[in-house]
Amino acid sequence: MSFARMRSRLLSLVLVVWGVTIATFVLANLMPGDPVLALLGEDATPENVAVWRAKLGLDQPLLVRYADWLLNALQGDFGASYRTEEQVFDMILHRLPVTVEILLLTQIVALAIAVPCGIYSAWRSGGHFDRAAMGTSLGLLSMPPFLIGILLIYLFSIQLGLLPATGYASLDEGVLENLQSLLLPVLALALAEIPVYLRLLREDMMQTLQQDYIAVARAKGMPPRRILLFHALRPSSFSLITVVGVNIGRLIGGAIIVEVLFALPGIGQLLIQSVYQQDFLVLQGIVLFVAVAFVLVNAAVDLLYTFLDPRTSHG
Amino acid sequence: MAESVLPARAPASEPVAARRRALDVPVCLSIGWLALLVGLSIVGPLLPIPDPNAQDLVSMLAPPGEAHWLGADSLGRDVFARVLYGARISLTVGLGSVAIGLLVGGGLGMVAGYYRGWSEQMVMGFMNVLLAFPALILAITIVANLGGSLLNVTLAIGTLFVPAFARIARANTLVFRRREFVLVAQALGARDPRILLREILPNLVGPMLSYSLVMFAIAVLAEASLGFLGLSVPPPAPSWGSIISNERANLDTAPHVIFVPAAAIFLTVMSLNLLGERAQRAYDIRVHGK
Amino acid sequence: MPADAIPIGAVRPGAQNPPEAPLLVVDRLCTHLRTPQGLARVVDEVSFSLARKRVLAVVGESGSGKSMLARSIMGLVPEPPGIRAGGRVLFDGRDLLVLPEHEMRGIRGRDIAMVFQDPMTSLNPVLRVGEQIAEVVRHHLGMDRAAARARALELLTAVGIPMPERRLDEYPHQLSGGLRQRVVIAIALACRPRLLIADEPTTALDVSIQAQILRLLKRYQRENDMAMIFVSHDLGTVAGIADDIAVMYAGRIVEYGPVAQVLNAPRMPYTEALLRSIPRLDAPSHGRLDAIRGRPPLLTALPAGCAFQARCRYAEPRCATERPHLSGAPHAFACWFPCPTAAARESRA
Repeated sequence: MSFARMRSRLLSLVLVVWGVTIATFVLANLMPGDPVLALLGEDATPENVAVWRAKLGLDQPLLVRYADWLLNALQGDFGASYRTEEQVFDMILHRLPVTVEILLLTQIVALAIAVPCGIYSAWRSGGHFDRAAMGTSLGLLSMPPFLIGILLIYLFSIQLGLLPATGYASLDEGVLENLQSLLLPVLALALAEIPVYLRLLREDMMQTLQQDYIAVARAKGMPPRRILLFHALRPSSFSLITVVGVNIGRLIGGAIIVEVLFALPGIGQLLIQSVYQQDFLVLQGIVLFVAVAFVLVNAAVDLLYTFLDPRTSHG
Repeated sequence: MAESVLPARAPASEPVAARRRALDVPVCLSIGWLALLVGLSIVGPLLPIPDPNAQDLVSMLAPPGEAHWLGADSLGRDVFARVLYGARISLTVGLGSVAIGLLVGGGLGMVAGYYRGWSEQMVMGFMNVLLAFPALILAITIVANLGGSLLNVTLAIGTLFVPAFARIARANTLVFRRREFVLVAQALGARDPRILLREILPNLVGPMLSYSLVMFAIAVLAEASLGFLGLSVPPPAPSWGSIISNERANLDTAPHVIFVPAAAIFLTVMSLNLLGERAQRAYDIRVHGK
Repeated sequence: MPADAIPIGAVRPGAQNPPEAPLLVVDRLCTHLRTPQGLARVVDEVSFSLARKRVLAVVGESGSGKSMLARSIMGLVPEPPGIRAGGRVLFDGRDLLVLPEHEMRGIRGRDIAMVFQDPMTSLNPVLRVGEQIAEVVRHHLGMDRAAARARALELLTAVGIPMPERRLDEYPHQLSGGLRQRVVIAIALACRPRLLIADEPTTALDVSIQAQILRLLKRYQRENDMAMIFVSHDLGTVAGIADDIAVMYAGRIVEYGPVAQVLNAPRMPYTEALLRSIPRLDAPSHGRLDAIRGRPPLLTALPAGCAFQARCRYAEPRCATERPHLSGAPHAFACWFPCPTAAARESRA
């Protein structure tokens, strides 16, 4: 990729991130209510309120507060929670591994199922497997992740008694325990994402398989497996890679839901808790962290795509 | 019989078959379910059903029966009534958020696509910032800060939809502004607002409306998720998601309380998805003649 | 087949052809296609034979079935919507149509190879050129990576690509159309096939490049005793390269024979009309082009009699009701009222 293009991409990246910080600050500070009152309760004395307001820096004008917050955030200081006085950044880091593990496992499981099924569906499109896969996909897409999770709980925890319904076992307690506690949540999320990947890959592969160069590969006498996995999957995988990157946004939303449903101590659960407790500094910090991470991951996927696809890199 | 690596000519023959079976069973069922839902939602308050918020601790978690057609929840409230009123919430939020997306997003997208230049940069830049947030996080943040209410949830989901509709509107506008009938109108001296309204807008209606059906489905899903997190309409309002969240503990003893709203969500979203996809495919064929 | 019909392409006793069994015998091949409008007989009882070292040109309008014929021989007609409706394709005595697929795969690319029309889409855009050639020899001949790469280099040189070492690692989009087609030919020739089927290999190329590709094919064919089926809609192109020519119309062969005989003295009015429609530089300027009026019949609704009858200037009532069969040797044609023979023309002149 040319240097000029990289430079302009970097510039727009920086602009977007800056816009994200503004948007986060604006959104998090739209609260009609008074956070201090919420904190201290209804019968707080005016002096107390004023003291706390000064302490939390809420008496400053909006712009100053934004600048302060942003400068601190750039140095890793996201402020401290109103409730617990813990550093927000520490709280995020503490819970990050759980969420990241959920996201990673979900992507792996979802792709492990969606890719082979998508390939087979495209190859034998219109056949029994394809129709079943498309029907199941439509059904799964029509269920919110928490619903899939609840159905899984019903099936595996309540009826079959095989897996725990809630609770988290960290890696320290053993890899097996850890995976067992994550099995249902990851499965729930993966089932929600599989139809997205499957339909995309199937569509793309069906188009690829119509191309002349596939007919040529057949004329060369190449066996179907090689044609599907080597000749057809390669060009089709590029759009899949892009979608996997963008889909992380959807996954993050899903992670929030399964963390609440299965009581997993991740960032999503922290986010919801901070909403209930009206701890808006924590909320602000999490949103900023997640949004910026999302933007950076997308940029990385974009870059990866450009390097992988020879059509774009050798322009 | 030789196996074939080349797929069956499904893509080519599908449109023909789809045209013939335009009103087949799944489509009819979907329309039927949605019509039923809308009908019940509208006449709900007039029907002789129990008050959805009326607690009746005697019939806590009652199974479906005479007094309560679909059973009662943990506070003795009638499940059928609550799910019906939940439909009113879901449909209102869906309609409202799609309207916001269409009007604000569609409008901005159309303007961006037609005028290009810096207005396009501004609009799409703003959209990119919105899109930088994972969807649910954006919705949660808005509702968390404005407070939970029907209006706020609609606004939150509507805000989510603005960039999506803007993109589609802009993409379609870019296609149509190059067409001859627009160039003719410009040559005849028509002014931009008139061109936008008379020439471009009518061509956007098709793709935007079929897109709206799919987005409606997403809105219902989003509202249900927010309700599950306790961030939709505040209790005791019976949002489908919040019913499920509240009754979660009773999954083992009284699963019907959860399965009824679950089925409602599933059927509604599935119907909307099905119709939306059929509409999009039909529109694609008519315009692009695939 | 009527009793008086003589197998097409049969060896004439006492001719220069060596009396060996033909390499390819196509016997009443039928391929049908299921379409929304009905069953289309895209290849309708086609029979011919091809000896080693001979080049057969198959010509016809678009939709005459010539590409389908090529694909039917290779077994590359997608099923559905295609149907093998009958006939035999004997290659070295083996009927390819009843061969199990994995055995057919062993023949494709190795004994019978195909060159497709559009070089811009025939190569996989995300694989390097060298890899696309090497995989053929690795798969069919069991060569290892190094040997395959060497063979690929050898082939690129043989097809006349400049700087072949560099090209091996390039991607198709870095090559021009003419070079890409040479690569496609290199892929086809990699395992020294005994039969090459070229489906309009020069149609998508510039005229100057066309000549180069034709020369390349002809040279290789001669040097390697390769049989070739050359499908084209361009009579001029095939004249220079073919030994025999088969003219197809509406899925059937309507004229067949040594190329000089057929082109100089066509018997089938369709062939005559095709030849007449070629614009000539010595024709008076601003004169009308002699196009064949009308259009080919729908393959889903073939008429009872001769398929060309509606557009034929010599048509008689019999042509509409009775379908003529291909007969005559070595120059065969399917017509009740054929054009005069070469001798007849001369005596008239």
